[in-house]
Amino acid sequence: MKYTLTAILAHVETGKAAGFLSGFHHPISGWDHIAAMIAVGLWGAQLGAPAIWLLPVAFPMMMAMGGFLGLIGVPLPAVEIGIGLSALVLGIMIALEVKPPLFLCILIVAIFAIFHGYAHGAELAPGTSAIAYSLGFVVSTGCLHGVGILIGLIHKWPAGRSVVRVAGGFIAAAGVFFVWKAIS
Amino acid sequence: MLLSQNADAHLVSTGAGPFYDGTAHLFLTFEEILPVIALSLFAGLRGPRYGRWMIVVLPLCWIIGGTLGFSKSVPLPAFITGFVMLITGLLLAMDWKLSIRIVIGITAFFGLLLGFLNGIEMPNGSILEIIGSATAAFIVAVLCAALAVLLNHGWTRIALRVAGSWVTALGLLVLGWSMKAR
Repeated sequence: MKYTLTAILAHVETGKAAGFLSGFHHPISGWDHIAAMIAVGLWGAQLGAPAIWLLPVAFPMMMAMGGFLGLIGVPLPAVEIGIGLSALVLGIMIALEVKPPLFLCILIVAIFAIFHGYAHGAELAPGTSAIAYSLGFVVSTGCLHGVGILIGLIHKWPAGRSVVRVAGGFIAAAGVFFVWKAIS
Repeated sequence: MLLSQNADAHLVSTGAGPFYDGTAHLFLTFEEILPVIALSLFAGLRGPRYGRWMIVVLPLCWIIGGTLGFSKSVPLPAFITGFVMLITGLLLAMDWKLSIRIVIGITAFFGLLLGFLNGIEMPNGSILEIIGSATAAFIVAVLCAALAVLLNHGWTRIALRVAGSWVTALGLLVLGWSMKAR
């Protein structure tokens, strides 16, 4: 008689729990997403009020629009290139302390957010709750923006300004890598 | 006469009753509790007078809608939940300066709609379940509206509006999921 051990799971995450965790994990599953979302928070902090909160409002909403477009089957070409470009462009904006008019800042962020949302939109695992998944990835996105904003608050000190610009440079460099990876 | 009945110490088999089923239903249903939170926060941001009207109108309309829901059982289109979240989230995110009559009207509309959605989901069709969910909605509304009144300035006001944008984003995604499912 053989005795085999099997896993006894104390908590079995299905449905809403699994959906929320899956959604929460999604934006942090790729460095390209992480870089772009932190960059939005950093750029907002660099630009100051009202951009500091308008950009992290625009991004999740337009990201959801991108997800919506993906779900209803609207084709969007070069999604991965768009995601890579978001890190590159936002990184450059931060590194060079570019401060365009507010509407242009929001437009740039909104356009890139659509690519990010489109990429996330269709990847719901079977058996999980769609709303819990969506809640997870909106919360995760917001948290990443929050991290960017918190880091960006050092912008008020002269040394902090340089650090933020250097961080922007790293994000831009990462963006180059992501675009190259998407193209090749 | 001497036959003993079960004496259930824990209501595992009987449940806590329809009132508490209704209460729990709201807290376990994101599609219903999030619009209630968004609407309450919006009313609170508008001011205490708006909040006082909202906490009365919402549960009353909820009960009316819920009663209609389980008596009529007319299924609503799947996109309705996404639509409700989208609009209530937008109200909070945009923080529109609407008159009190319009806010009362919006609250009544969403109270009826959410109550109706609740009603068609209740398996037993008991008025106590509707009252339970309306009571839960009332409690959530009171707490959120009061919180919004307290936080109605500076960066905390902005944080509440950011939360509204998240509810809007969720509504858009839920709309997308419901359209994908068709």
